[in-house]
Amino acid sequence: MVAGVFNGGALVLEWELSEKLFVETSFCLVLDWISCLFSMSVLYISGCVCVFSGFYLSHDKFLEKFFVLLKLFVVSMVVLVLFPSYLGLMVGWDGLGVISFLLVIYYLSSCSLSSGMITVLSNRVGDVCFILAISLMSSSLSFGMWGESFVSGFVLGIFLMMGSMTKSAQVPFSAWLPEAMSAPTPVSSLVHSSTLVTAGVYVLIRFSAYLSEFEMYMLSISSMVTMLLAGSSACMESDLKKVVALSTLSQVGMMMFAISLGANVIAFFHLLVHAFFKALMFMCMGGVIYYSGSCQDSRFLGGVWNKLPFTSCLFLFSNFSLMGFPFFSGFYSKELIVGAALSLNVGLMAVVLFFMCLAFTISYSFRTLNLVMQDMSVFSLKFYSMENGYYLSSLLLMMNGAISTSLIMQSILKEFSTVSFVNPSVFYSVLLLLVMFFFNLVLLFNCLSKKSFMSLTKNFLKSMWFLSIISGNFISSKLLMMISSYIVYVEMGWIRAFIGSKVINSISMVFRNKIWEMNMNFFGVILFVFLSVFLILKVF
Amino acid sequence: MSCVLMLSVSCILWGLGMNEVGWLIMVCAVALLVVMMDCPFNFYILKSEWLGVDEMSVLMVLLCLLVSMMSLVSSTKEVKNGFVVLMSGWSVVEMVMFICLGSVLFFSVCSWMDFFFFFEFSLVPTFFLILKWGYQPERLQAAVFMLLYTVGSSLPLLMSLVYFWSYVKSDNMLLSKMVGGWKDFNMNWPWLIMSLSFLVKLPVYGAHAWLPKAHVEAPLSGSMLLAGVLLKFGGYGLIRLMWFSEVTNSTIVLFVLVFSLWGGVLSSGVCSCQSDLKSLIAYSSIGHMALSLSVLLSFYSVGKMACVCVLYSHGICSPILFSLAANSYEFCQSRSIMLSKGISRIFPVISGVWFFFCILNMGFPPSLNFFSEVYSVGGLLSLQWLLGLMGGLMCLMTGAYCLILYSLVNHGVVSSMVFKPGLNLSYRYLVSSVFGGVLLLGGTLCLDMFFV
Repeated sequence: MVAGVFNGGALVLEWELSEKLFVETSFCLVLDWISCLFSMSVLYISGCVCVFSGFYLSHDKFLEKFFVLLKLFVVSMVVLVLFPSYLGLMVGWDGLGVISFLLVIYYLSSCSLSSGMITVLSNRVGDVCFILAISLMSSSLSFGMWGESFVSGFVLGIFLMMGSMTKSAQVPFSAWLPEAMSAPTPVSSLVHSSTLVTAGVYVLIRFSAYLSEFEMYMLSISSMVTMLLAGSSACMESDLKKVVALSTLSQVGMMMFAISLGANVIAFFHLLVHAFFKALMFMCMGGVIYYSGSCQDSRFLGGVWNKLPFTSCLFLFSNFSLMGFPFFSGFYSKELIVGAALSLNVGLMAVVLFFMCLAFTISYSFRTLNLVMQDMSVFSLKFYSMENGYYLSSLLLMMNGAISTSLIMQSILKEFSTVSFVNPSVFYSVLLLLVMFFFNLVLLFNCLSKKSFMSLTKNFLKSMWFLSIISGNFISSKLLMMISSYIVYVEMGWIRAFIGSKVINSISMVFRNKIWEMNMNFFGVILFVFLSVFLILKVF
Repeated sequence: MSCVLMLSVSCILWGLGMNEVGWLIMVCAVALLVVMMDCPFNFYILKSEWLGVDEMSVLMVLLCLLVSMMSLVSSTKEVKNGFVVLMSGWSVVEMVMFICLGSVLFFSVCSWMDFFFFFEFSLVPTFFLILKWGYQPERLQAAVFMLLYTVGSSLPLLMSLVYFWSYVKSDNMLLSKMVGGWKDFNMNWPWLIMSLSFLVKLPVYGAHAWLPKAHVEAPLSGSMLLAGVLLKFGGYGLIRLMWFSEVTNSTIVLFVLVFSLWGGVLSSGVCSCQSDLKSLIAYSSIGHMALSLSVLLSFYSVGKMACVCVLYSHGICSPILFSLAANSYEFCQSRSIMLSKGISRIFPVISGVWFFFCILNMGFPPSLNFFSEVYSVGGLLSLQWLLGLMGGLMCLMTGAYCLILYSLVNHGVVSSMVFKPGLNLSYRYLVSSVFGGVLLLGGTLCLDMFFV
């Protein structure tokens, strides 16, 4: 069977649930090379994360509960990967959203509750889109990924795309990913780097037959805006975990961009490679945070290069992978995406924005390296140590991910190596354009040193182009105020007090008084007896 | 075959050391009933002069038995020694059994007059259950409201059933359908007036004021039975009315559909801002029932199936949520959300059960709630795209308030009311929760049984 899967075959097991509906409601388990590879990498990364959390949460009282939650999360992800029919997918999809809520609110404080709420409500919007997609699919013959949408047109693709966009935190649903960094670092390393945000990408890869031209277009626009947003915000962000989260956001945007070009296999390759080196990056970050007394703010950190050499070395390597430094792990997949972007039919604007995002990636990676490693003499560095066995072993297990994972994958699977022919004049002209643009930008920022402009730019970029404020605080406070005033006026006022008390009381009082009068009256009694006798005679 | 099943189940239970006969009898009865489910779903069989059986009525009878079993298990506090409040010898248990009896008979009779009789009969023990065990004036108001709303709107139904009896010369349900139903009538406004009683019982949004009051004032078993069984009377009655009287789609029906769907969205929104735990769960009942009503009124066959599925899954999930709320009342002495908080650190298992049933309430696959919600939204979407979008909005708000409910009870610092000496928590709530959870999750495996 292994040889069969290797050569492109698949094993499908189907379990039929109900026969009463016209649609085939069934759960089908599919084992082909995509699902096998993805589930293998998910299980490997989660194993390393479990070892890492033995180090990070070693002082926590509820460690068994944490492990149970983590295992449930991994089960949901594996169910999502292995069951690509829509009904089976929803099991994993909903499970992912809900268990990530529990993991984000693990620390039981009010700010983690607000982050958990925005996470799960954004995911719930995606769930609703998927439910509507299932309802549309009920009119076709099956829920699987093999169908074509011949009945519902492009609306099905829109629902599919919107659902995946909420899970993978594309614009306009991006606010939850930096907020979800209130979770413990092992959770971020598993959930927010490799599994939760890639679930949307995986669903789009599987169901890409349902996407039409319009959705591809919208997807490319939204992924480009996401990449820009994440790249520019990461250059100004001071919380280190949020910087890594924003880098995840931009990489997921890149994967979505590759899907919108039609290069699904390249997107899948980048998904796997990115999972490995991003998990490693989060683990190194977790070690730094743990040893500096849970300080996440980079303005207080520095000088890790001297005190945690192994960690900083691996951090350096994973950042190089992220930037696409030649012959590191991330280089192979990123180069394929760039090649696809240049050789397939996209407009000039798309290519320019794509290259700008790559430039942003390099800039914030170097900024992070600088902030973490350079000795700024702002923090007491006496307490770092590398003695914990769990930490060392988890780093050693994941070490390969930053360096040679993609080389190994490319040499085993022939689907991952493609060739693209790039027009050199296009390439060099775009490069020149970008260099000039950045030169202008640097000049602009140097000449305009007005304080208000700089602070405005900083506010704009720090709150992710104001998206985090709009998505969270503004919407929820307005909605809850509206609901409360609705309750006071309509619910308690009209329905309960007016109709409930006054109207019903007045009606029953009126009747009661009249019946009282009638019963006490002799004439009324005679009338009542006569009428009842007449009615009985009439009916029978 | 059913005897074999009963014997095997009783042997297993005896082997596990359960010496209580009550559980054994109930489980055997349920097993017997489940095995009886070989009746087809769209044929109606008259078993005798009074009883008529089709799969939906078997499902509803099963629901009655299960919910009364769970409510008796959860309310043993009122039965144990020292706490019994007698009213000429009757206690909570007898009231619960009366309601159960009335409901079982309601779901099985096949003549319209008996149907109406048992429809009103089950109100009497409910009235006693709400009223008797307390002295606040709100109890009286809640009980009187319930009676006024329900009985007042069912008088037109009585009049029309009597008129129908005189018209067709028999009040048997099946016979009236064979005669051709009520085709001679113009069924716009008369339909609304006749089904008004069912619409008030399954509370459609405008006439829902009695439900939160009744839930807040009733004891736990009253709430469980009210949410689990009595609200289903309305849905069942409406299905039977539509089926046996052969009504067709009309503008009035569409009006009620849109009204109930929008009311469901509003009441799900209202849920997010409630300050009383029981009132929150009551408004969630209104939302679920509104979804089932609106998909039933779309006159699709998947609509009826989804409606029955919603009725069943809500009927199991909601009583368990009420029993969990009563659990937190027991150790916080308050139903307010400001005071019963933060039990995640001290009662981790109960917190896990809270989470499980909150996400089941919002429709977590692969449970029965998920399938009922998906097919309800599907039925609505097939009718009109805007209705489907509103159904999706309702799913979103349902998810929001379920998670708000979970985080209100479980998150944060432990409430200061919890620490008092002598705190012994019994496991009876957990047992009934596990039972309900297994039913709801395992219902996926035999989906054909619930999609009637």
